[in-house]
Amino acid sequence: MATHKSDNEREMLRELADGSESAFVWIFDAYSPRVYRLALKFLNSPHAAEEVVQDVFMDVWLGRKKMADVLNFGAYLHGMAKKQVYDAYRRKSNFLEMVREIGYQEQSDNATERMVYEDERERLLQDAIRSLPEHQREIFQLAREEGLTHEAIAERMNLSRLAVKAHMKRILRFIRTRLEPVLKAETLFWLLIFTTK
Amino acid sequence: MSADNDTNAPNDFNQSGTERFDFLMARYLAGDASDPEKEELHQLTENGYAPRFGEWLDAHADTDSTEMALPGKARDEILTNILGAARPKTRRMPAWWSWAAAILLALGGLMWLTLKNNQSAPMNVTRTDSPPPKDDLQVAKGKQFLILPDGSSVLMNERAELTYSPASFQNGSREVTLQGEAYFDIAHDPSKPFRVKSGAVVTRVLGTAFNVNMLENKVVVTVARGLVEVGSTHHVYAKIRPDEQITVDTRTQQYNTASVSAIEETAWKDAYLVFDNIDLEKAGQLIGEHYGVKLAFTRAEIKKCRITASFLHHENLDTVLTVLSKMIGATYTIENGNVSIEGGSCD
Repeated sequence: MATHKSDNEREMLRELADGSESAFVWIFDAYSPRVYRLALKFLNSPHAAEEVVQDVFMDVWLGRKKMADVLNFGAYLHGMAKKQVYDAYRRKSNFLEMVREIGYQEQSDNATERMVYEDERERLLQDAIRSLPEHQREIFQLAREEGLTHEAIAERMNLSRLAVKAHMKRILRFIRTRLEPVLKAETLFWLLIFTTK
Repeated sequence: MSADNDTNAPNDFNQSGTERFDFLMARYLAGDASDPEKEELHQLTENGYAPRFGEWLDAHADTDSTEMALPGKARDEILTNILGAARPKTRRMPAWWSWAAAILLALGGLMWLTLKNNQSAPMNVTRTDSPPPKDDLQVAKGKQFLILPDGSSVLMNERAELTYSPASFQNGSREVTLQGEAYFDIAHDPSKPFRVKSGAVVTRVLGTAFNVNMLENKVVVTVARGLVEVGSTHHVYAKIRPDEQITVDTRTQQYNTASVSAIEETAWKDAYLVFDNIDLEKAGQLIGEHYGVKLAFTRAEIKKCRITASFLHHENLDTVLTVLSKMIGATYTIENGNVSIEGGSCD
């Protein structure tokens, strides 16, 4: 019965908002097939589709506190899936493989100011990198300094592609939080810049 | 000028562009697009047709005539990737664990824990990076299921012996010493590698499931899930992945790796009835297969409750059902090989 299903779903979303891993697994199992199917249809690659599923549901998990307030979870999820599929489609067509790198878009015209902030930013960035767990630091450095692709990092570190991607996502999130002081101090904002290799 | 063209199209160029886009997209989705067509589709998408791309995505949102599940392997990995590192440092024991542990202990005989203080540390308790107080060592011997302070679980085979220091676990050093054979399922914590020492062989992991078997002159490590690093205290011999096995000769330090079936290699552990965060429906099937009975639930929704528990295989059915029912606040009846679980809830 449809109402029964949605009652159950509401309950699961509430539990998810409280941090229940089993509720998350339930939601994942209930909804990942449609995300996967959509991604597979438009990306034509099981690997890319798996990454989309991981990205979408990682956002669900990281944003779980909000989930109890989502009225139509199916629609909400479709919105997220749409964005990720679209991003993945463009990336795939644009570049053979992408490395996500922390970069920034310069907004300040004042050269001195810019240098001060760049120094500060670099300092915070280095701090942030230092406080990463060792293997995440290694992943980050391989991506940033050696410009390695996810695939190459996965191979180098003997991890799966998906695991590298998940790590990158966490690393970037972590670094962004650490850099917030600089981000707030000025209008300089950071973007995830895709560089090609 | 005909008036029956697309109402949204601002001009003829865009209109024909939309048609072209739709044409290319249809071919692309059908798998018929040539490389130049794919490139053209991409160019259009980049140059103003992103919203149209979105409309195509919407159109495919709920035409789920053929829902396609993720491959199981990808599902498990994604869940591990997402949940693994999200766990708080001092991982709260999942409610089921404490439940299960309490009930299991209360029922007695279901699992036996041989924990004792070990004043004179045995020979094979080699030094740790930050030596824990010696009087703190716990030793578990023989066949049993054990949960370590970090939430990791260990299924020990007969004659296995596991030594660890609860205090150093508290301090963040996750290290155990093993003799014999055990299957480890390690709580993920990227900042604190988990180490299993088997003589001079050290198995180092972040969060994974694997089997370690220490034999007289060799140590065999088999990985069921995740990535495992095997080495000595000084260097790494090899990193092994699921369904791989490494055998280290402890006399020569020579090693070789091989592809194996982790399920077969760790079949001994299936003598236990282990429910590792599975739903009740699945647990019911496993119990059914194990004891040759049929399980039914009077409340359909409890089939989705997830449980974690383990039993020794020769435990009688009543005990298993008692524990299970208590976990979900249900009762049960058995009649002619039909078990009915009545009431209960996932809370």
